[in-house]
Amino acid sequence: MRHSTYRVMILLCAFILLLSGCGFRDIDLRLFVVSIGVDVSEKGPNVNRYSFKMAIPTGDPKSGEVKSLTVTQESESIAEAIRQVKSKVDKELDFGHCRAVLYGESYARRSIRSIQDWTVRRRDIQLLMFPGVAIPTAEAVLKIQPPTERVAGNALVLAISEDGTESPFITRTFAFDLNRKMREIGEDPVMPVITTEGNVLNIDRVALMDKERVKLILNPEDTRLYNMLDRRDIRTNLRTRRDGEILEMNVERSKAKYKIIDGSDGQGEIRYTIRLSGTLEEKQMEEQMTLEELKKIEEAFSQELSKDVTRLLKKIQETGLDPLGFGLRYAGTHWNNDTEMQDWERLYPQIKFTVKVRTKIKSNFFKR
Amino acid sequence: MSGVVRNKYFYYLFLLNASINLINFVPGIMLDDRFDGGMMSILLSIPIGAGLLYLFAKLIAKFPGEGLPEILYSTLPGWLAAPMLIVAAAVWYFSSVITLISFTDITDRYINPDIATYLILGGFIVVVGLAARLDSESILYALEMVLYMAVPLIVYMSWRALSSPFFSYDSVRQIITYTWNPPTYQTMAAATYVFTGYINMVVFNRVFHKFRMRHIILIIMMSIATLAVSMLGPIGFLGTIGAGEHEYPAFAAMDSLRIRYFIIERMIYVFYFVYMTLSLLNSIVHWHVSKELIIGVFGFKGSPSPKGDKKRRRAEWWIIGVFSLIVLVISGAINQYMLKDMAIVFVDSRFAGEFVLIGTLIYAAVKRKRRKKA
Repeated sequence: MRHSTYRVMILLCAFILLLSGCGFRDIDLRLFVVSIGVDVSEKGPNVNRYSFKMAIPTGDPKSGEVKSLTVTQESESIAEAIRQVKSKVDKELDFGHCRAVLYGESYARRSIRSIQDWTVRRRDIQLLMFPGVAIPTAEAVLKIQPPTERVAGNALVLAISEDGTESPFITRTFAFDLNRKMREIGEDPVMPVITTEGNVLNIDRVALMDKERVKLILNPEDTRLYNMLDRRDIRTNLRTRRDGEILEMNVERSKAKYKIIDGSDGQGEIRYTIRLSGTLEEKQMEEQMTLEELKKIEEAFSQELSKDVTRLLKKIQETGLDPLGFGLRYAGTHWNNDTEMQDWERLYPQIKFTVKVRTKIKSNFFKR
Repeated sequence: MSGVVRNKYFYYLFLLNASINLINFVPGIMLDDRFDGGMMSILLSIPIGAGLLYLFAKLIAKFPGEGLPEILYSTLPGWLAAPMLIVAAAVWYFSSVITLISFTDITDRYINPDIATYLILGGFIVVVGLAARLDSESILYALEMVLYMAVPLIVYMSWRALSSPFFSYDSVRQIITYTWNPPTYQTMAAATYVFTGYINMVVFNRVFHKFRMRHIILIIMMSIATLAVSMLGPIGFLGTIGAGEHEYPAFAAMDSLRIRYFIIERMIYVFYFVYMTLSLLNSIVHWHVSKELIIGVFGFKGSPSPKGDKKRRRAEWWIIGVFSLIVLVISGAINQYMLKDMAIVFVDSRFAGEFVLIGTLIYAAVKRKRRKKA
């Protein structure tokens, strides 16, 4: 008995010895690719321009010294491009910390399918990556290093992940979500749009896509409304006017629900109910507030928002896209699986939208 | 014969099998049929699986302290009992082969692509092979402890998944509207696997002396929850269409989860370690059961004890050696499509085998009763 125990112990130790070998490279022999960019190339329709932003590790993150390297490679496929980039750098490329993949606008208007498929297929790239559309090109966006950046390549990710800034204009999307919507029948994908402004990045628009290419980029105002419809608790300001004076509300909680109603006349209706609550942040009127006045202001906010949302929904409807997944909801609430999508395709172009908004202003801070 | 354990260990055996169900080959097989009767098969599998489990528990309670080898050899002729035991052991061992190989593959994909596959598998085999030799009671105690650590984490992860804002309930609803399609045998066989933990009792019954089945409703509720999460969880994250495109749907779904305020960011690492422990434990239990069934054929009676005779010990080492060798050979020979086919073959034959097992036990029970009367 004792002998066999020893033998087993020796065997186990032998395994530990083996573990450190086999092509494993230490961390100081690795280059971490933090984001990937894809652009069209002038060389021809089959060639793309791939950019890889790599973080160069520094000893002390507090020193404020941030270094990164962006290597660009033109190639017919991304797999080939990576192998070519490997011979341009001295260390092993590691995609384990790759957090963003950016598609240049003209590339995204063509088709992102093949790259998206590659990111899901490749084993060391996580599904928690953030995709985005870059204007003017992915390369230009990757090369920007905002002065606020503390860890190389981190600023972009902090912004689109909303870990850092939390803006109502940023539409947070993950690769798995993009992947799901690209395949789902009845729901279309969206991506945030990242533009450059000097040496600062600006993410304030959303790109609506059909299954694989960008079709429409919404303006910041519509993007905020879109986010409010898509997610809960968007922290934003809302503006309305009363007697020519501007009123600003700070929204703390928001919740949008909808119901699809089949009309008997073949015309359906999508009924949205949006609940908002928050505080009054800015008021340019001189008079003191009263309860009746507050009710009127709430009503004004509700009407304003209802009008804007209806306009946005109609605008989306005209493009034929379905980023909010109405089609999927319709399919999920109807049991005639074979015909439901044909029904929906007939219904959607002429569906009516009614938007009911309930605004509640809880307080107006320290002043009455 | 060694000591006696309490009834709760039966539930642990069930729970181990049910929780392993979230990640093994079962979700993949069920998701293949998500548009053609997958949901209906799951609904039907609940009464069938629970019924089989209940029947088995009632039957095995009539043979306190006896394992399947003892029961078969005392009621059936030897030429029939031996092949039955060998086939049962082979089928049960086969499932651990699939678990081990697919988990090696998962480790290779998600954790470290740089380590050679044989090393990972070798490490797993050392753990499983050594632990499978322990006596039945020790394995049950280890099982209890691991489950106490793993189950809270599984509940936490499931809750996180279902409450994520990116979990698409509309996709889930869409799949639910496909419920009324006719069920398929394959998916039903896969879904009943949740209940199959009871089969381990063919050996572990040796340490149960006053076994009585109670609270079957708990088992049913647990399996409904497991089946719902394993089928609908991946659909919520990967979509109605996308869920069918992943090799390991549960892992892809967990890769979609983020823990923001924690040391590690990706939920998949927590998930991986929980399920590595459970997979290994499940393989240990399966190897133990298969080994005991085969040893039963060679006429070594009773459960193993530390002071067991030398011959028995040598036989154990041989069996475990052969088991390890088979895993290594199969792992080198197959690719991911064949692995899935193997899983389907296992699931189908196991489902049929369960009926045979229960039929045999009914026959044995009747015969035993008559003999007592006579």
